[in-house]
Amino acid sequence: MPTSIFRELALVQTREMFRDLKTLFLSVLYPFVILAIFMFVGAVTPKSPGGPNIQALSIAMTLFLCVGSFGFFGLAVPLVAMRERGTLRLLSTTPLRRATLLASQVPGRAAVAAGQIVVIVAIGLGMGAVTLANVAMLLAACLLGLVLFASLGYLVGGRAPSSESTSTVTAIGLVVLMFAGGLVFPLSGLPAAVGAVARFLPTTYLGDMLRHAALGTPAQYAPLLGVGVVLAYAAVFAAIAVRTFRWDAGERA
Amino acid sequence: MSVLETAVSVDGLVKTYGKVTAVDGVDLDIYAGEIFGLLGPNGAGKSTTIETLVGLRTPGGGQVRVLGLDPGDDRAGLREMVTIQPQEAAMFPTQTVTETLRLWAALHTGSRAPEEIMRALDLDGSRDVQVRRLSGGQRQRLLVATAMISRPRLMILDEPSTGLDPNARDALWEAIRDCRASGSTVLLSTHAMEEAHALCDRLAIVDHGKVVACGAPDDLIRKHAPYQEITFTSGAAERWDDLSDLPGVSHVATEPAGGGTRVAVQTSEPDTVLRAVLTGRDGVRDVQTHDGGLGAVFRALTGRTFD
Repeated sequence: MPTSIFRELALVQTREMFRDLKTLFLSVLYPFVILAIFMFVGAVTPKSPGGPNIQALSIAMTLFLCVGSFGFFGLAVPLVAMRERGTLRLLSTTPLRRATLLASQVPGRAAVAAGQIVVIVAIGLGMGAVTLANVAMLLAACLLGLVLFASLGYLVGGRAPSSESTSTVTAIGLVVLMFAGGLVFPLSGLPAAVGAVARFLPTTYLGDMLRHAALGTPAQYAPLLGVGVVLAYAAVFAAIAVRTFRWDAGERA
Repeated sequence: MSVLETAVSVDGLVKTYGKVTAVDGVDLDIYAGEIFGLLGPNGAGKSTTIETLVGLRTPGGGQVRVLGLDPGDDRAGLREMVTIQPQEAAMFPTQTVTETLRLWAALHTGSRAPEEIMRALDLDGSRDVQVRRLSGGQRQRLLVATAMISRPRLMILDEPSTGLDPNARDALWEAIRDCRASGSTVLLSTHAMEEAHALCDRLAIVDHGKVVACGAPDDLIRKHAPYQEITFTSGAAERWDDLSDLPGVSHVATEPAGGGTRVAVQTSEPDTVLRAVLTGRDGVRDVQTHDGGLGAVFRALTGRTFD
């Protein structure tokens, strides 16, 4: 990969994230707004005996949304916006390679996501919601989440034609995946049909790891199984994304 | 006689979109080192032809060779040597002019310095302005600058002067001539007769997806519109029908203008007409003589105007 092209493009992509208010909010501030809402809801909800630690659950949910928004709002939506505007079409006439383009999105956004994860975990520690012993496991689960959602983000961003609809659909999809995967409520408490489908979703295994690491409750799946499923899905999503990626939105008269 | 190296060869290019035929059998040979123009009205098939040359569109029929390569099969090879300023394109909105050019310079080896290209296209004053805050003309020049910065062997510009004021347009023309002088071949599309005549060594006139004439601008004028147009203003009461009877006159048109009549005479014998107009008639003013230009060539070949 030519270093100077990668460097210049990575700088461009990072500046794009920080200079546009909407992108800045979705990429940088969104998880903290969500965390504040979760914490507020947790604070005003009467505690039920035997219920989960709401603060720890809030940390797990926020981390899930954080790694999800890295893939969807950090990678997919900007990629779709570039296609929509015609920037990718213009770049396709230059020697820029597809791999360089996609890789250039990562440094700035991954740095932001890593910073967000560290701050969220630190907040959890500060509030006593997360124990020091579980931090390594929590960070490892987040790393897996970043890999999974990066591949999913490239899969979605590689073809979708409209940044508005991508933004809306992925925002809703992310919340649905969070609930359907048993992160908020254990799978045993969800309808059987949801549970049956959820077992085939990689986000279910990711959610299980986050819940286990944050709340300290027993994991539903063996750690190695979870890691294997998430990485396998990530590899499949990435392979499909590479094959289906499009520089432009198709030929028009 | 020197043998001209062919930079672009298009043979029977066809492109259809559903039932619409955008390009209908275009043949072109563009020689290395020349500025070649595609002149035609909107919808004539210029952009489709141009974008097919860089692989942005797939031909429906015919053959295309660009610098000896097939744009469909050897697109990667062409990207190193060919740049394009398409009509439909956008850059990164929050990057400044300098940042944008720095990126495009990095995309190619042996690029010109961003400062040099900014000077050439009069973008110095907006070097720190973000793309989203540029005027239409500035954005157009920046887009052209991204095509120029890499010293390409072939530079393709699709309507490059759109939205430019006369000063910016002159700077653009000068920069395009400089590119030719430094060895680039330039292909540009335009619907401006003046631009085609002033800038192009040769051009193809395109209409309804076909090339209706091809050659040097002056040769095309001599061949297809070999007459002069004489215009003048006279008093309102004056009648000029008799000019039609003069030898060489092919057309006389009159229209009211400022309390008088504006007369336009098309003739292959301008001296005879001038003598008839200026002898024994009072009140004739604003006499001008000029050739019909490329507009007359287009009219002669298609029976229509496209201004």
